[in-house]
Amino acid sequence: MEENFSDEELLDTQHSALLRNTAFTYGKKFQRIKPPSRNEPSLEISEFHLVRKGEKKGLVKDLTLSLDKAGKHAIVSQKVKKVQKLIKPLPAPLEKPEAEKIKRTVAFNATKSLLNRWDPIVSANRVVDQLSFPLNVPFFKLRSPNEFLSNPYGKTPLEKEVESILSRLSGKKKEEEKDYNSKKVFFLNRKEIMEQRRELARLRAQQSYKESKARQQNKIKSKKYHRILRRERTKKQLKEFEELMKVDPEAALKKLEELENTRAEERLTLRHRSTGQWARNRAVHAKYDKQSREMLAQQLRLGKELTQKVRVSDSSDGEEDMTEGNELANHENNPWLKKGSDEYQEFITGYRKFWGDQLKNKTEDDTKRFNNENRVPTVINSDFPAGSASEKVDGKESAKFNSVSAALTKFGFIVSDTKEENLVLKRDSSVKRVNCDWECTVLAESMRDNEKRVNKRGKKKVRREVGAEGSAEKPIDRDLDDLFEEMEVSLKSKAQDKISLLKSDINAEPLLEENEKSSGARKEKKNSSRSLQEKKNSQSFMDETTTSLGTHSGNKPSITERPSMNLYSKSNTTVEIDPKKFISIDDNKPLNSGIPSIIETGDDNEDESASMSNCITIAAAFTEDDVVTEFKQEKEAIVEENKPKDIDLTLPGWGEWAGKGVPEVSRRKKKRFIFKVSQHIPRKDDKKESVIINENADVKARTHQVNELPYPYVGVETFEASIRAPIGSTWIPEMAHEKLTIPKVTTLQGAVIEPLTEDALLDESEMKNGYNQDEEFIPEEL
Amino acid sequence: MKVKVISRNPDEYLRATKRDIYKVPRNFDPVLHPFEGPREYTRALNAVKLERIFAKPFVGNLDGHREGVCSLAKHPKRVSILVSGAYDGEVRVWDIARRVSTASWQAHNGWVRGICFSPTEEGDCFWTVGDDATIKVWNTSPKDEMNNDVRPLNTIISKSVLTSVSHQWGGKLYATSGDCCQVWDETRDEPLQSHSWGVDSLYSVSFNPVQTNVLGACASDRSMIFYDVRMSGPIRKVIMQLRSNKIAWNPMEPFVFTCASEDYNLYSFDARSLGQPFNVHMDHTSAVTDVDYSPTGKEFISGSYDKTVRFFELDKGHSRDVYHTKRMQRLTCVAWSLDAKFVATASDEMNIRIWKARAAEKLGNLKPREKRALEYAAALREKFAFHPQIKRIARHRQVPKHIYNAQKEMRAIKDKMSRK
Repeated sequence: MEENFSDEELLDTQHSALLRNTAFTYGKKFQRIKPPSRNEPSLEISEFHLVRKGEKKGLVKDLTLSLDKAGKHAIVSQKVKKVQKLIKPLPAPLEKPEAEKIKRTVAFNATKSLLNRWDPIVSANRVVDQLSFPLNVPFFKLRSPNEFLSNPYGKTPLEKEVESILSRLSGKKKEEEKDYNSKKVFFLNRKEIMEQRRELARLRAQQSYKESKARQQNKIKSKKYHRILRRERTKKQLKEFEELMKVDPEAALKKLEELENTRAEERLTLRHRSTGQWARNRAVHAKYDKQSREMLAQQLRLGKELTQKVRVSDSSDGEEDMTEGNELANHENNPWLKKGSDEYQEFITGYRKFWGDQLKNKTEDDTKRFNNENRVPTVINSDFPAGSASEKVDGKESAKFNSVSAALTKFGFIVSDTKEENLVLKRDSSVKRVNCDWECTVLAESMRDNEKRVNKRGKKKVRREVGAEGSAEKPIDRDLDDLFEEMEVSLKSKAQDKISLLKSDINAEPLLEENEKSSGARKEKKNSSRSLQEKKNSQSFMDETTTSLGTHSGNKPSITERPSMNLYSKSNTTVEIDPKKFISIDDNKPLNSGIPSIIETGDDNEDESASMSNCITIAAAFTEDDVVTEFKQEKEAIVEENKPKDIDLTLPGWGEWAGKGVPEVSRRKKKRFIFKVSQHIPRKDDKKESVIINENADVKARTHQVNELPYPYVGVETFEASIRAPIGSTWIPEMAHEKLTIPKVTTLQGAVIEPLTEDALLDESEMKNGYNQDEEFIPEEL
Repeated sequence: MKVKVISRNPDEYLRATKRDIYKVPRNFDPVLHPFEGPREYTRALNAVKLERIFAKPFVGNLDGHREGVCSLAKHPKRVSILVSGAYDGEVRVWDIARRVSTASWQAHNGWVRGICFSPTEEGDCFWTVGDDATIKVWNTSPKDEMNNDVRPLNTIISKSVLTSVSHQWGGKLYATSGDCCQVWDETRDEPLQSHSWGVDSLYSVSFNPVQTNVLGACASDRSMIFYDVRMSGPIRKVIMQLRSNKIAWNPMEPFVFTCASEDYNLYSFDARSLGQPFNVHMDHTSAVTDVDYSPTGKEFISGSYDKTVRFFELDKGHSRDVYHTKRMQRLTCVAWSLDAKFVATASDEMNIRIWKARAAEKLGNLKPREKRALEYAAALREKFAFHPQIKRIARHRQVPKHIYNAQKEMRAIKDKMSRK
């Protein structure tokens, strides 16, 4: 049987395999229902034309099979294959109930989230002490003039009469009224109003920002900013100049002069002249404070350096280059001078040099003469002793001269001897004054140095300037026309070259600056280090001054020493006192507090012993008072107290003789008037040792007492406390009474309470946040 | 001869003006007031007794309908205007302050199933639906004084039965119930949307006044169905043990609604979690037919088939008050006035009754001192509310015998259930 069974099984498997094979091999060929083929479109759909479930590939693929493997058709078939790979059939639509279900769920969740928005308002309203309805009173309301003027109680007879007369007189009024009535009052909702306000605030902020920016820009002291501004300005001027040169060279020259003048004026500005508020304050302090003196001196020095006319490196004299080395080095360190004047000077000197070259041959004699003339003032100039202060004065003086004479506007040295003497006198006086003000702050050495330098400078200056002038200006006056005729072409070309060079420089500078920015951090560090060094230098400098002063006067060193000594002593005391005090207090002095000492001295090792001692104390406490006996005593006392007493009705002296020697209370009287109560009246707790039953408790009050702890209260104590606290004005102040009796909900009779509106969701703080997030006003950087 | 007399400066004991308060010197030290607790308790007891003495809630009766009143609608802007519809299809506009009907006309053939005002604008017009399967729009103040031929502003003939109507707050939509829930636009004669969810009919429909796109309806298959007007479809269905007659949305808590059920109870739901009600309000002894929220959202009123009106607080399981009169029959609808001071109830016996929402409240303007005294009394009542005597007096109500007996019976049933 088993074998048979197995045979049968085998047969089955074989049979199925055979079927599968045949289906596989001949499946396509012997398909009974033919796949659909293209037909004329018709509404009839035959079931025989439907594709079998397994054979979705269908038409397109079959069609591609028929295509050739090469040539044009190959490309098409490839494309079809690609597309078929990409395209996936859409999933079958869900059954309608299922789809509806999903739709409902989604809708419900959406509604839920909508409803959730109200949660904070609702919970707040539930918790709040008092709600006064109507809640959402519009915070402003527009009223038409008619509404405002109308009397709610109607018109008085007089008014009616007047009105009737008026209406008879003119029918205009009615029309106006109609107009008002037809106009609908325009309401904004809260959100709109908030938005409007926000927009207005934004505009206002912007306006004020612009204003403040302008104000600040006027006040800016940043060198960099001004440098940039200046550069822009020069660029513009150069451009103008270039154009002018092309058109009108003579005017160009004038322009050049103007430019130079402006530069000179710039040098004469009052910057670092110690005329500002700060400087004046310093000057006031200078008498007593050495540091301020130093600062002022430094300031002056800086001013001096700034107002120095910048040397031209490419001047013809080799000597000058050599002698000016120090100063130039100074200027290189000084960013102000270096960058501020570079373009200008280069250009101008270039232009001038060009002119000089052109005119050299012609005007040699003249220049010599001029030099001779100008040597006198230079000698005078070099003679007068001037520190930093004198330099400053020099600037002032020259400014004055500008106004006095046109000849002095440029270089201020072509003057008669008498005038120069006056000048010298003036200068001397001014120097004196200054000196007396500041009490000779600068060191003797530095002064000397300065003097030397100044002298040299003065000489050089004069020489150079005179040379320049001699070569450039004077000839121009004489035979300008000839020159221009001759040199126009060369001038143009060369100047243009120069300008182009300058331009390239200017263009290159921003790039450089960018580079600087990129390496900004490094530079800052450098700067900081530099400043540190400077500080150190100044420190040392100050030290030097002190020592030098010390050598000068006997008193001052002691003064200077004293504060330092004080400081030292102070520091010493602080170091001595603080830690020791702490330690001594912590260790030794017992605190005068209620905390037991055991806890105080608790260390990690001593914890156990401490707890043990605690236990002992508690135990000891309980050993002493016997709770049971105590209770017994208490009960006895209560029982004794509640025992009925004898009623004593005796009246002293009643029924007896009065006077001295009267017995107190007679026995008879006692017997008669003292009613004795039976000593043992049974108590409820007689036989219950552990219970005391109060038999005098008020039965009537019991009905008024609360039996159970009411719901919201957590403990009996809290409930009792809430009941015990009075709310009447008899026992508490009026204000407290009012606060405690405030009703939870108040309504206005006749006022319609409308349901919540979306306005309630509008949180002002949220609005603010939104404002910050969405459209924050980001001011441009200055 | 010098006669010594006691003389006092009148400034010390006379008031400068009538409104001055006598300055009573007080020492608030509690040691000096050993009886402050008992005194306050006594005051509370007196307050609660006085409250019961002054509890006269019935304000007035609006008489005029010739059939039982089956629908009420309150004007959304004016407290004094009320519109009612009767079984005979008559609609009346009432001036509550004067207790007169300002206008009345035959609106429908058969019952006036539902009335609703448009809360937008000034509430000039209202919608009525009737048994004649029409929706009609009416003006609140029809110009014709004789009320002879008041014509509707608009009439829409519906394809199916209509059972109720509800207007959206601050919108142009209104919804009707019947065979299905239909959402209409004021300006169109065809419904915008029509939703049905496998139910024969819907009894009532009500828009959420705050979240105005949400709509609730009571269906005949014991269910409540919620619709979202924006999502254009039903969003959830809750099936109760017995049919619910009416849904009222809380105007101050948009996700809270209460349904009046046939099983004598009211159920308060949170619309976000409809699994179970967060509070069950019981006390009625028969089916609850209508429910309406106070505009403050703190309490609601319910009218029942047991001929009583009950006031429930939202967070309490039992009613705080019950109103009934001998002649008031089965309640059909109730409405809480929009200033929260009055309620109007309509019942089978043709009358509309106006009640005070707080039975013992003194109407009219109060002097400040009086107001403060009343506030103090209320505070005392609240403070000592748990004391048995005060609780007993505050809760004590005389109810008709049938209600008393029904309550007793219900209590017995409840006890029996709990015993089991």
